[in-house]
Amino acid sequence: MTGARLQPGIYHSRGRRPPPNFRLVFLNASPGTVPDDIAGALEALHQMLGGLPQGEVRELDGQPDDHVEHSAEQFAGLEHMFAFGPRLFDDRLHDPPLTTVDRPDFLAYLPDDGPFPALRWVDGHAVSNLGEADVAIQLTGERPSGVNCAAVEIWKLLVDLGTPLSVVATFDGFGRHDGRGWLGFHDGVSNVEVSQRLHALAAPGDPDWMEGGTYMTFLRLAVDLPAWRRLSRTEQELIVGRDKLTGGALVATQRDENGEVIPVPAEPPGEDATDRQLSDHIDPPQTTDPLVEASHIHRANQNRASPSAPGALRMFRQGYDYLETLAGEEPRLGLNFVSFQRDLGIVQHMLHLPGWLGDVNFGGPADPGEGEPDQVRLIGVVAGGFYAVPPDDHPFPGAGCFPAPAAGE
Amino acid sequence: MRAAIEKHGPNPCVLTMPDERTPHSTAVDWVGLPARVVECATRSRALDLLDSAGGRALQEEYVEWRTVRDGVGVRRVEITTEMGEYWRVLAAHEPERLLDLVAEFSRQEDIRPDEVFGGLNPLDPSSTPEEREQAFASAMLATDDPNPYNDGRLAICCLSRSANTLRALAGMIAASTRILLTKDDVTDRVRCLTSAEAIPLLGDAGQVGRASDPVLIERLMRLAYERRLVALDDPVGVYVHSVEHSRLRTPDGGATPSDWFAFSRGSPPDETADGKPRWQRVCLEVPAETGWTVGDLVDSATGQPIRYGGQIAEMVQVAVIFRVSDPHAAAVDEPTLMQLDGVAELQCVDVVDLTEQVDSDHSDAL
Repeated sequence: MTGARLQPGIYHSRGRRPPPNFRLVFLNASPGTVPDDIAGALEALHQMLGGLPQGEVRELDGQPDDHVEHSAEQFAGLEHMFAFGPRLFDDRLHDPPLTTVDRPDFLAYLPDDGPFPALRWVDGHAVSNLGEADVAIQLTGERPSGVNCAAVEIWKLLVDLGTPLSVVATFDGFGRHDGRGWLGFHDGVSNVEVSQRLHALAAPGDPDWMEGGTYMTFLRLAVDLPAWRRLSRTEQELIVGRDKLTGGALVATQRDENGEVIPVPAEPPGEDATDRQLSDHIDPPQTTDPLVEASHIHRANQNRASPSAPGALRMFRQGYDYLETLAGEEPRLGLNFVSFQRDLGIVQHMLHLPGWLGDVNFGGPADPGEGEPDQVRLIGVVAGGFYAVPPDDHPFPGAGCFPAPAAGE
Repeated sequence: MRAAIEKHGPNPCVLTMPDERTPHSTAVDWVGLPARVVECATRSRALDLLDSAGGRALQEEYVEWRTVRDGVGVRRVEITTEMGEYWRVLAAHEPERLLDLVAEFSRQEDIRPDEVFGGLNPLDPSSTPEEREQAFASAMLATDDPNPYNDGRLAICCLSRSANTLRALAGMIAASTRILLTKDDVTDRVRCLTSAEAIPLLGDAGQVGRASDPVLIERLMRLAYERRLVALDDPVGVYVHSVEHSRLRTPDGGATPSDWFAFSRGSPPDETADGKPRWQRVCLEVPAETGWTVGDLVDSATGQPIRYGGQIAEMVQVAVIFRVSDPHAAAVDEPTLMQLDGVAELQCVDVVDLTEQVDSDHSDAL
């Protein structure tokens, strides 16, 4: 398992951190589009996007060398990744079909009345889910202007070529240097160990065109920050499963003389931490305290096993926060939950099973007892979708899904 | 458990029974569709194989099922996690009760004793418990001469595969509840072995690629790493905790009522100490008054209609519950770091063999 076939944009290797800027661009094909047209457009996009970090901007072809350097700096670290949604395979929407390869079983639409038992659409149902499209292009880079300008370059190219692909939606996000999210807690600490990530990521050949690729989950999650801020620090820590200040995982709870719950965190690893302390910080020891077991970090990794155990349901997360507005009664902000995994069934199980994330919205006990945090609907889905991320290929990732027409056709 | 410990050697972390030293309970869960078979054959092929005549042999996640069809499609899916060892005890000591259960599961008025006990009449007062147990095991648990009341043709009563026994589970516990550490190649940090690294060291105690074995093995290694004492909860069993029923949609797009799944052979959550249900049997059947059948339902997670029992097994969450001590209760020597020769590879021979057999049968039928 070398991982050599994964597309760029999945930062799983040791020492590689996701760049701080993120944008997803969603494209749909117009009715009547034929596979050859899609292939031509994707190849052109792949070539154009690949040139941007070298300062190759279509409209600026021929600019002086020092200006080319400025353009290259503008697009520093830009990487793009192609992904295909269930819509691409939907013959009810595409006549003729856009592709004849098999749709992976779990590459399905998010249900209108869900999308999951405890993680619901913000408006109660998917009025117009903008997160599902034929094609998604993930852009990541060092500069906000880089990913934003790259998205506009996508639009320009599609317009200029007159292709049947058009941009239907786009979402942005940013990474944080402090490793925390909107909830104020450390986020992403418990991600899969570096040496295990390829086991979590690399898809099997079912269907065969996906072998060596991976699958992406995208959920734009609105966070109800006012509701979160109404909770006490203790309640927040019990829901998350970590100490808010140190990031240390909770290992137990106690009760004071009034019956109030007191979270007991592990000591965070210091400079002289042993291997065990470091490992325990990243992947906290299992707990037998039911209240701690009900916290978010334990629900998301209930079985505490590596990705080589299929029942562990492990995924590699690479999320980005977003802020839309502070105007109005409540701020509109949240998390672009992005995960990559070898099989989308993993996500379905995790978000349906009680004890995991199927019976609570985020964390905490599903049926709280005296002194335990009440269930709060903290997050809701604004948009989202499942995507197949085909292995890297020539002349573009996923090219094999659009076979060239036979001579004479 | 004692026999398993004898086979795999002394283990300071494993107790034969829970006691006052193991006040906590912790569960390890997985879903019932055999992950190894899916990995070997692809999911769609695996679903077909697992419902085929020889497919029961591959139902290896401590979950076995039968798919009841009519001329139109799937009418009912019956799933069991009941251990064969329990049914042997039932046969030895409560043969009438056992016959009643077989009749209930096969939806027949009554069952002739010889259909379940072979040549022995278990109701004859002169028969001994040992004779009844042996006669039942020969008639109902033999895999080379399967009985229609347990192979799915007329009913399914209990687990019958050798991989799905209490003996196999106890062996895994005795073998893998140990501190097995290595230095990570990438991070250079000491960590517990992964299941793929550990399984080659455990003899025949587990198989890579399954949903059940690897996750059980890694969890047990972690418990040993924390120097906890471990015992199987009493009563021992593999229990159905839940079903992902909200994945299923009716033909008009509506939600599937959870009570279309009938749970039995166990305890509801309000009768267990930890509030978790302990069922051992679940049956999905659509009420006749709806005019629909199971085959009309659609799994929203895949967009596919229900054509196979494995699609339902995939939604069934089962768990083994352990009773454990506080950390640092087991007197375990400081382990040495293991030098690993490699990892266990996925084994697919039996899946390939059955695939060829099914293909051959299809060809003959044509």
